[in-house]
Amino acid sequence: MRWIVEALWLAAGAIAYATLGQEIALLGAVPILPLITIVRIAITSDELAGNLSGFGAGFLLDLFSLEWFGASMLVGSAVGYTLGVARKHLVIGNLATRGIILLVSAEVFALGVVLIKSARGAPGPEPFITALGSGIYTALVGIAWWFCVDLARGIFGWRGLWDGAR
Amino acid sequence: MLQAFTHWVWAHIRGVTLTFTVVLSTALLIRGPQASIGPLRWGIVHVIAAGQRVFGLPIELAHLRDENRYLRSLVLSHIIHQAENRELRSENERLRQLLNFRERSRFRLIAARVLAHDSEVPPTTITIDVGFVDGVGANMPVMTPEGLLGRVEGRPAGHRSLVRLISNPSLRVAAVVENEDRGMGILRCDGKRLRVENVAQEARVREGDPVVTSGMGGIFPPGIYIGKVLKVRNDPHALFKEMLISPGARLDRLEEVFVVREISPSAAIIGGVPDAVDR
Repeated sequence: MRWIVEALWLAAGAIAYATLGQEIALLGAVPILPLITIVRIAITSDELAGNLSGFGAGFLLDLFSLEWFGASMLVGSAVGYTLGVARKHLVIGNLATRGIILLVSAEVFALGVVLIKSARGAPGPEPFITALGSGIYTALVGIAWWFCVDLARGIFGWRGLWDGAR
Repeated sequence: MLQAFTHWVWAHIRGVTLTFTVVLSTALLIRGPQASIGPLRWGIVHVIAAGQRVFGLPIELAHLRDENRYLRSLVLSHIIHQAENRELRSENERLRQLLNFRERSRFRLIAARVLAHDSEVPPTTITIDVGFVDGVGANMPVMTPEGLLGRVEGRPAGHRSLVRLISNPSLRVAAVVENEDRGMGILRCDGKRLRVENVAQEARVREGDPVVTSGMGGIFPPGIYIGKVLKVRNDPHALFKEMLISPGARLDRLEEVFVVREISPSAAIIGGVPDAVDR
């Protein structure tokens, strides 16, 4: 049951990213919404779940891309797997720590995708700056989202978002 | 043997999965642009497009008031223009008959709805709900009443087509500035802005001049409105000048578009959308 819910979260994140991205973009920076779920899955499960969730979310993101089909899948898989391996050494104590982990993951994801897309020619510094902005934006949205869910969990008694993490 | 292999795979499932996902992603990346990806992709895109519509509903509602106001003013200006056009048309007919001119060619259009777009800002690729069954073919130009959008990429599916927009850095369009000098150049997007490059230094270009397709590339028929000149970069030591273009079509808010099927002697619209685009 948990994995069906997680898969739905991933799909919702990817669809929201593709739909709302342009509306909530700030100076071209867009929060990479599915990454918020990938990070949580990888940290609360293991490298296999992280890898597969990164691959799945990347696949959904790549569906709408004409030329770079596979870029988000590749980077998503790598980020999910790495986080899953690193979870043993990460202590998810508070929201700030989770925010830093999300920030680093989002920066790696956004810069990784831009790096792959720049393979066919030097695009200049602008896409990289936008990618950095997207990473920061993702971390801020993720922290706000996790805070709200934690709050709702306290009120409604839902299952902990971070059960399984250290 | 098979049992030993299965056992080995399960023992190393994490590494095997990582290798599989990385190899598969890399293979897809290397395979390059694939416009006519199989029915699996179109099926998933269709499901996701339904989800996109749900997510897009609040935004759509937020835009409705502005859109309503805009449409009211548009209707008013159209009523005024229609009256003027009627007068001009009859005058035009009289002049044509006098000059024995052939009726000017117009575009035959296929109306389409935008199902989905990629996550770039502004989008560089859209999926529309018409395909080869509806008469859409590879490389057909796509536009809105406001101007050129791009072209159909690759062979379309039955009722789906992928469109490469002018905001896609890999798309080039032969363009011409509509003024007395008619400076020709190549339109392309640098990822953020549209620009027309390689315009002869001698050609005079002013801000606000309209830019249309020149028809030189062979894909886009001449005369499709692209946008207007926003800024002219004029380096006297350079061989060519370049211009920033403000696109006529709103690339960030695409709902209904038209595929230019062919140039026909009379304006015909498939799908019952009012007024042919004829700029």
